[in-house]
Amino acid sequence: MNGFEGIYHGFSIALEPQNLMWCFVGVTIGNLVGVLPGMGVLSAVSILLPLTFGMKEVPAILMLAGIFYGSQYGGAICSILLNLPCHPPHAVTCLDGYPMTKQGKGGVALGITMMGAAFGAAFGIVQMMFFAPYIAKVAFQFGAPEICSLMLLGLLAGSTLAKGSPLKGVAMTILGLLLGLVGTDINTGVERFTFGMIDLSDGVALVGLALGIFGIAEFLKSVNNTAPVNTAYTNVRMRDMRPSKAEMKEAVFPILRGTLIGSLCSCIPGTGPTIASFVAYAAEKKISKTPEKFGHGMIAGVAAPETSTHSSVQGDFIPTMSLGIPGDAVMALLLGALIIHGITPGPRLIVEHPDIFWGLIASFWIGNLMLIVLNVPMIGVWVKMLMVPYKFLFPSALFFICIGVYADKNSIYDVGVTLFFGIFGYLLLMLKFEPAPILLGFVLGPRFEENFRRALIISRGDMNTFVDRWISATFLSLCVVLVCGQMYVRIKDKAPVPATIFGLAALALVGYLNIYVFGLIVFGIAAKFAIGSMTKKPAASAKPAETPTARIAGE
Amino acid sequence: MISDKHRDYYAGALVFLLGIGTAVMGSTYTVGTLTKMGPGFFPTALGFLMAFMGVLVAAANFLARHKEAAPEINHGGGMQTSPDWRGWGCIIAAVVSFILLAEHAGLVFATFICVFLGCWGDKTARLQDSASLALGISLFGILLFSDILRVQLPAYVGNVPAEILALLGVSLFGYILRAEQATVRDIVYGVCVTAWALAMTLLGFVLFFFAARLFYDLFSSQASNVQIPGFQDIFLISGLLVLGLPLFSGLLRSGANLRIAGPLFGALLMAFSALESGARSLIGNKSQPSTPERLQASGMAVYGLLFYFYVLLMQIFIVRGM
Repeated sequence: MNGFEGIYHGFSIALEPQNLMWCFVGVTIGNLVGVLPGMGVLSAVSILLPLTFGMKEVPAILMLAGIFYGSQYGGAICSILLNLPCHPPHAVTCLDGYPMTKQGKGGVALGITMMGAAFGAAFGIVQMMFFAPYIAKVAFQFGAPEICSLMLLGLLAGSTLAKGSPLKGVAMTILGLLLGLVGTDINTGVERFTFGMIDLSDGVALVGLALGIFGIAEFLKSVNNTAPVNTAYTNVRMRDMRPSKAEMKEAVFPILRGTLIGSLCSCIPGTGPTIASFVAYAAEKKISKTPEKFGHGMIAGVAAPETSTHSSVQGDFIPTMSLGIPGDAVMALLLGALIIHGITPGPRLIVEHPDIFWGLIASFWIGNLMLIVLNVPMIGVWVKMLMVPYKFLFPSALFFICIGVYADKNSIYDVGVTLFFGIFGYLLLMLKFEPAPILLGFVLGPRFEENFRRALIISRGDMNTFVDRWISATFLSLCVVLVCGQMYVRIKDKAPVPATIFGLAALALVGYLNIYVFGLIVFGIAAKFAIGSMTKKPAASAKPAETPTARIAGE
Repeated sequence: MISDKHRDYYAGALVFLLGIGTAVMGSTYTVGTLTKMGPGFFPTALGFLMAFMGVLVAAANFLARHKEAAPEINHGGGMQTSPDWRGWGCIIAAVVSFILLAEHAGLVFATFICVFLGCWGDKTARLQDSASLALGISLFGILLFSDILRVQLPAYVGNVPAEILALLGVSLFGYILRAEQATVRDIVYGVCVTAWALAMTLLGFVLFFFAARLFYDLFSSQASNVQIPGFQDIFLISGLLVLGLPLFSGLLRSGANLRIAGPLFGALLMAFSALESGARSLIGNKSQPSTPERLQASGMAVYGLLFYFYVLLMQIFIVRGM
């Protein structure tokens, strides 16, 4: 099925009344969640996840995806009119969006955001239409070692490139992998980490974990801790949204640049919309002839980051759908939903389930169109929504969490699990951990172990299998480049020299001592390579892939 | 609450302990060798790796320079600066009460206590806020989860008639909206608005259904298997929307427009009766397939448009201040 046949098939799926309906429900809820200060995309997706278990898989995925991209539209309203960066991808929009609002041009800022959104999203979808099947075709050649290395790359990128300390990110990923192991081992039937409880023998419920660390933990953090909403500038009507010709002219090139940056960022696993919007803003400031005006209501400072957010949100679906490797926690939840519906994510997904893949792409077109219709004429409604007090929001959400987790398996035990992870998640937040990588690790954990074991059974326990094959070796060396790049940035910017040397020495030591442990082998390579590059020149981290892997292979 | 300087020591210690614990527990299962891995291999390896990460986190903190960071602007995204026992206690108590009560005291009671306690955790919540929100949500919850989605929890335990609870909820909900000031005229007006909303949603449904069918036939080679939804279903869902949206927009309280209270009150009453009859007829008909299936099979796309029309209406009648 090529691109055009595929998209035709996709529209026939997405226009089925019930799929259309769920797509609409998804984008509306997404938009609502985006607008409401104090509600996150992750908690919304996980609250609605149990409701989709009774549905067929196509509408379920369409709806959950709709929440994700729909919330990007709503988040802009919150940032521009209220100066509340409650949704990370839109935090940077506050810098110029709110000054525009104070000058009475909030409507124009929103109008330009909507234009940029439409353009960026369209570009992202086209990119997905043509890239994803191609990537999947390449991925057909992957065996167990390749999948393992690729997962490792995805996990490393997802945990180190997101915000927060990379070390803590990796620790959270490992925690997620371990949580994924709870329950009956599929190979031997041994029950692991169940502490003798029968309810845990099926493993930790995805819904319970997600709602605990993104729902209850968030409420524990935000209760009595939300800033009062300043409603002085929230009178926006449709006719205020039309930008003048001069303003349009000012916005066109930032929109184009933002689209490009967003789509590039979406190609790198682990860099979601948040990073795209920051990069776009920085680039715009650098290019501009009047960089001093940024922060005082530049149109470019709104147009570029917003556009790049939308284009990278759509592009984010590419690795998830074509490789089965989620780039961030929302994608991990979507993947979890696929698994719950009995669909194995991976390169075969496009061929075996064209309904899901092409239907999703077609629903992106439809959903974005719906969102424009929802946002432009009805901006007044969304603006009013900004004023729902938090004291009414979170108790209602608490109830939906309880009943949602219960309805998942009709088990009240899972509600207790959710509460446990809520309190534990709050503890992690208090220690400045980012909980999102937990979910990445949790979803990939069982598949990672399975493929790791399979690869080593095939190779008869020879770890060389991971560096012997060129695709796998490439992924591993990309991991190395990633780790080295992170270290290089740290050396250059922040950390004092002793810290780095200590870190590298420790890594090298561990790398040599624990060569049998797969995770450690990578750090071993990393340390060797990093030391090698430090003695020559720091930029050497971009050297060809063969060097470190060949050295390991030679041992 | 924890100083920046010491936070990462605690963080490192937590990760280290978790890692060591996992490794020790993991090694009690068969570890095996690389060629023949036992179930304990992976957890043990990961446990040690995690313990090592814990050491690294603490070490990085030991070696890092701590600048005097500027105080973060709190946009509701930062952590609390002082312990908030009321908020935490109430949220945890809310979930615990749901766990304890749901199976033994029925969904309605559990929901009421859960939402009430949760709302009470907010320092600005007054008693009537908590009570009315709790009643509204338990009403909404029982309609959505017990009558429509059929969650396996008993709705009531004992002989509490549904109507009494529901009416109590509606009237208290009216109280939160200051409905005691609404005149008879307002209520009549509200009934008219509700009727108009229902008529419009039905019209929208008919129009949209035919459009959707047209598109479906256009694109699909198979014969169309879309069925026309039963009138009861439409009525039920319309009723739910009519009930749910005022509940939500009523909570906005932005306009502080007392005149919307009457129409909302009327809409609530009307919608509730519609829902009751709809739900009852569904429950009475045991021979038919379960409601979720029916709702799905009957092309729920239409309800999307109902929703759209309804939001439009709310905008016209409520947001613009009648």
